[in-house]
Amino acid sequence: MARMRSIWAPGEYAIKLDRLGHAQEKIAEKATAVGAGIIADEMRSNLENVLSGESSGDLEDSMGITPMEVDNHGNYNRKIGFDGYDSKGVPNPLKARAKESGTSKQKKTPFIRPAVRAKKEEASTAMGRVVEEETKKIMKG
Amino acid sequence: MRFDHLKNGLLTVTENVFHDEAAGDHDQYIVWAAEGEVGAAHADNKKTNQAIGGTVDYFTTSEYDPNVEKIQTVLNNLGLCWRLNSIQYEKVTKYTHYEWTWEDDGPWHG
Repeated sequence: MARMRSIWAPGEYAIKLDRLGHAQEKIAEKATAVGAGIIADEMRSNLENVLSGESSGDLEDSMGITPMEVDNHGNYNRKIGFDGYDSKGVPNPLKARAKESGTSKQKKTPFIRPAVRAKKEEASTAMGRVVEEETKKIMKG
Repeated sequence: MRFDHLKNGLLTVTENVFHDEAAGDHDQYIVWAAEGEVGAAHADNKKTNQAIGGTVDYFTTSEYDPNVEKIQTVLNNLGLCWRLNSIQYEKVTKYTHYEWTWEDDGPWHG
């Protein structure tokens, strides 16, 4: 006659999966920081190239990466952008926008789009590597 | 797509078409630019295909300017992959600035 037995104690593998689930956000924090860092470095380098020698440095100083956020679809995101006003009271995001897209008075000197284009694959690979490494640590531990 | 096809297509919308940088004062004008390589294929140590990306900018002082639609028709007719990237209003100059980004493979020069 067949007997059914209830198993209450979770196996080692299940415990690791549970740990992995709980660590998901921390892993995403690390991965997005690495990915955003790669893009931001390229953006900064491009920006330095398009700025004139008389630049105050306000725009570079205002550039930063936001803390990670989760959107409505459950995706982890960080934004790279410009904050605040320069020493003349001009909003830094406006200055960045004018450089990237140009205006009727200013020729465009794109530095964001080329940076994303050049480093998208590298950033994506680096983020994947972080996720893989962190997952391995948990599953081996 | 060849660059001159893009230029000639845009010239059907307005005669004020400029490459890279505008000149003179106009109520409506277009500036087009190529930004660089966006993708490529390689074989036998050679580049066999090169896709290039760029922008088309339209500055107008008219509200609901019909040329916006005409520019998009030109981009479609040329078979470009494009998107209307932004619409910005310049408070000081009163221009509305439309910016399209595009991508396509060559050949670029005929």
